[in-house]
Amino acid sequence: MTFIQLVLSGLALGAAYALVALGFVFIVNATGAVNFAQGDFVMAGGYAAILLSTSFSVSFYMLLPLVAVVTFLLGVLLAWVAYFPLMRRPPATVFISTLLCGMILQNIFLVAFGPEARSGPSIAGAGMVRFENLEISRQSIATIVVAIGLIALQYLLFARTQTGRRLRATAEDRDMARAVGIPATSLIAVTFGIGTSLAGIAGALLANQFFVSPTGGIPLSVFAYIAVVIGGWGSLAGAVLGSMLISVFQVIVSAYVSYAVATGALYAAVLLIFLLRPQGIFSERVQRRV
Amino acid sequence: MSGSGGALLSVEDVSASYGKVLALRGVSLTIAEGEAVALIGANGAGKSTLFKTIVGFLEPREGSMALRGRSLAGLPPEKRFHLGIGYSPEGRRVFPGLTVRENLQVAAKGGRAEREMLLGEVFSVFPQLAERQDARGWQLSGGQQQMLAIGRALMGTPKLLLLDEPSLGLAPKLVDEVLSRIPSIVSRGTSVLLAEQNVTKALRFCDRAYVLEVGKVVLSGPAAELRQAEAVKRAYLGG
Amino acid sequence: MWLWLAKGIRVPLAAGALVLAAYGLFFASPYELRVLTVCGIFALLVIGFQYIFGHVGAVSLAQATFFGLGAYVTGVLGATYELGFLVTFPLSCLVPLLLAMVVGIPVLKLEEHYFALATLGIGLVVVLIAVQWQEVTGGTNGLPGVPSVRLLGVEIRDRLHLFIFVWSVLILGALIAYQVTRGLYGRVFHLVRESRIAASSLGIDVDRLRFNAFLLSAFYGGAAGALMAHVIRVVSPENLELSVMITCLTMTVIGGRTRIAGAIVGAILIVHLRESFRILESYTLMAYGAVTLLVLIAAPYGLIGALERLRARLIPEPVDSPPTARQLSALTAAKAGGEGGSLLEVERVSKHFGGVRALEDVSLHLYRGEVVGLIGPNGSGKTTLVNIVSGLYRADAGRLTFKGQDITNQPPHLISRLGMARTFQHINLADDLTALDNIAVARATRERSGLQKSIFTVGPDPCLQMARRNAMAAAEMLGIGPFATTPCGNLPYGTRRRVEVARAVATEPELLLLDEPAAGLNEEEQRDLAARIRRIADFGITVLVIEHNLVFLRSLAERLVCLDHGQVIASGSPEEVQRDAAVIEAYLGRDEAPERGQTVAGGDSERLASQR
Repeated sequence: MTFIQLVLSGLALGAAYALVALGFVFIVNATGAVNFAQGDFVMAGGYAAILLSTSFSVSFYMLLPLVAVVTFLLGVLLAWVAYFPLMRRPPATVFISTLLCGMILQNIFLVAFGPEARSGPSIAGAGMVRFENLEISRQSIATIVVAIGLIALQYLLFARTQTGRRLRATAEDRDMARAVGIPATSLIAVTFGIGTSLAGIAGALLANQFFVSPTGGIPLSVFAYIAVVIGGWGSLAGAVLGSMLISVFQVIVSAYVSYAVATGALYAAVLLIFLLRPQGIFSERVQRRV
Repeated sequence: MSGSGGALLSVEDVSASYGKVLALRGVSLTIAEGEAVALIGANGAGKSTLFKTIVGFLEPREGSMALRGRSLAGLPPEKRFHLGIGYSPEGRRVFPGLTVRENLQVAAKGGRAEREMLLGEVFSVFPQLAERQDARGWQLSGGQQQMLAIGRALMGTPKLLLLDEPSLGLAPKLVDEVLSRIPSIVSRGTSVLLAEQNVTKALRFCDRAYVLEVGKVVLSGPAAELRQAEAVKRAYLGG
Repeated sequence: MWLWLAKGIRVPLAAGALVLAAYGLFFASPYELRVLTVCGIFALLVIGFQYIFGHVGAVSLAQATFFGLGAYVTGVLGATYELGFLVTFPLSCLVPLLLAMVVGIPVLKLEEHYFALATLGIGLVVVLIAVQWQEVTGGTNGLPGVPSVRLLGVEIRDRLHLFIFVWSVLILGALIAYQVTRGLYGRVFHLVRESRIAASSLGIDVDRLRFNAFLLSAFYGGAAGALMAHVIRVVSPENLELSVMITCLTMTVIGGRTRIAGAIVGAILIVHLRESFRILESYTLMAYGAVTLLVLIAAPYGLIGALERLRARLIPEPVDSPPTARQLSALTAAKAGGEGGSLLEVERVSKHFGGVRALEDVSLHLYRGEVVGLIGPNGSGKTTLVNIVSGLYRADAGRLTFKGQDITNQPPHLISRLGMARTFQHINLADDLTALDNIAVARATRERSGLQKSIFTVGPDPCLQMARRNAMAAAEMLGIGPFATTPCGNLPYGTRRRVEVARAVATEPELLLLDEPAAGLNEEEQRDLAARIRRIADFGITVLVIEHNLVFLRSLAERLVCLDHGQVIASGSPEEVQRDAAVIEAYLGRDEAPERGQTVAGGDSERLASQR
């Protein structure tokens, strides 16, 4: 494997992570709450893809849209179970409730699919594509293409449509949004749905190369969290950037040293960031009004 | 002018509380179609609480409210907005990351054509907003933010506009500029309820006024009469 | 004794404890004894977790790490180096403590979410090390052959004896937790949890307190881990994993975040739930996830908290009679301190929030013994000024001197200890504490309440008793004696404001900053409050009152300073300021376009200083 090839596969992984982190930020921005079940929704997407392709033999054109719908609905459910009842409590409460929902999901996977890791269907057919000396799997290319497409789509949604504007307004000041006629509650549920369906799609994309397992989502939640911290809390572009950074770093260090060292170094780097800049790398510290 | 068009908003015996603290104690007031009414009172008198109750952030403990005879009980803020209650809150609260144009657009119902038409109307009331339509909410000056907050409320073509302390933090000249739009808003068929600390100005731009003290209406009447009233002065400057 | 039992839910708790002890000692099968032993270990872990999560209110995800670390220390030292319990156990407690010390200082400063993530990160790094460092830890397989507890030549192998031993350690741990939280120190924790800002402006070193709580958590976690290693005789990375953390969190949430009984009930419930459905492991985990979620939503204070609230509703508690007041000695002494000297100097202070200039070049001098009113329209910068003076905000420019000492950008608790106290525009009280205890917390620094002191105090906490008596004196000064034993959440707005003033007075300050003390009071109450503040000032305390209400101020202040748009626009006697054209304009507005010639800021600060 050449260095460039490593970077490429790091970017493919990063593209999928970016979707996970992006979904995570949507929910943070709309509610101020951390969805610690985000990684489990990646697994949910992976399992949904396996189920749809094996039991219902859904063709791969329909696979991603259907996975998106399933995880969207699960996300809306998450909003009603873990967020709305605890909305007025300290943010840590929602953190715990999503953690618990994640645990429930993990055990549903365990019961439904068994403890062993499973491989998902490929989205773009098996095999590799060669460019000169570079070899890259079709799955990686599909992952990058889908991720770029979705990131562009979410940009268009937020910047250009009335629903997108209303979602942003709701995220910025929920009560005020309601006072100017915006149905904020439904929009927050939709935000949860979009956030988790991005994770679900990432799961379907990753399932083929990286396997799906009941507890495989936990480190992904942590990665999304770290990506968002590195990129600057609440920044969409930062989340994408942070994800790319993390995964390229991880792939390269894993290849040359070991996965454990890569992960360890990543956490150490995050702790160091906290030490030097408690407010995150890019974000400005906001003074609290007393 | 007052009372000629029948009651637009009627608030009857409303009591409301924050947590366990009673902030409104049996407030009654009416606003007729086509009039501008001022709500005067010191900090903590309950002006903002009354507004929040009318807007629907707070359900009253007792009493009732109706807009053109239709009870508002149990309606969420977004429904009340569509019934015709526009709200420009204390501290303006424009959406900081949205552009001026977007701030206005989000508040419009209906399709693109209707949105553009309403946008044009608001820009005709506040030409400064048209000039800065691509600036983000946070980049505006206080006066422009205030106009934006009012304009945003007008996007719903409200029958009643609630203006909570529009002069807050504005230079006196700007206060005049903002308040002087009230007559033109009223002439377009929107009644105005204005909460103000700036008594003289409030009375100048309104037809009638209510004086609120510790959650109760202690005085009400035509603006011209209240301008002379001792109680008003006392509430502010200690006579 | 009977009175002690009549409070809270002590009768059912005492009965439950007796039943549990009898069951464990006489009726339980060996299997059940083992389960109960594990319950005891988890209860110890949870009690430790309660310090940081419950009492301080910070979501730490490092408790399992401390637990696993303790287990590994015992495992490695016991199995590999064959060291005895008296060596391994203390070290198992100390190693996690050391880790907490090293990471605690930077990590505890972080905001909520970041703190949770950082503690999680530490945990994941430790898991990685445990898995990778195979020579020492045995890697993923772990280390078998951890010896049983051997104490003074006696080996505790029998399950009954092990049960007794573990529960004895638990009882010791519970006792320490009880000591730490029952008195004044515990009430300080309570306020820190509700409002860090209020606590720090009462002179409480919030960072230090959070640090102490974190260390205690680590210590307990290590102890629990060590015991677990002795009981299951194997250590493995499983002990460190997130699932242990979630179990611990679940137990805490279900039992109750701040109650020792909650920790024990939570541990017993969850361990038994898992044991009895061992065959259906994943269904159980699903179910207990759902149940915990339900408890989180329906009973935010956990089962014990729900019971306490039920009891409070069904059978009213016997109310303590308020203590006899004890005069605030430093306060009465202050009068002798003399008048006239400069107390606070604010020199050309500016503060910006983003693009908004909240304060611009503001200068203000306060002299000993005077009462000054700070007026100005909403948004003119009054509260910002007080926040800068009391250290909650950093000034962008300018200098502050208090009692001759430079206090520019000093932390609030140090400024407070110099003799400054304040109230808040938005009330910052602990709703669950009585008015008296809310005020008593202000005495924590003066009474030198501390961790060691509270652990080793036998009998009633003298700090709390003295603090309450002083608090009573402060309450009486504000006329709220009759409400002393009422929880603050049940008091009307105006009364709560007076509790805040009393709390500030109880620190025996030389400078008292009051932010809109009369808001929400009717005219009669305002007159009463003004008279009481006047009496406080007569002790020689300097008072700065932020108010809109000029009637209230006229009967109180000797001097008024008016701010508008972050600048001082007028200063002088109440009569002068009320006649000042700029003030009238700022407040009442004018029909004519105003001329702001002579009274614009700049000249005013000199005028202010030259007035004396």
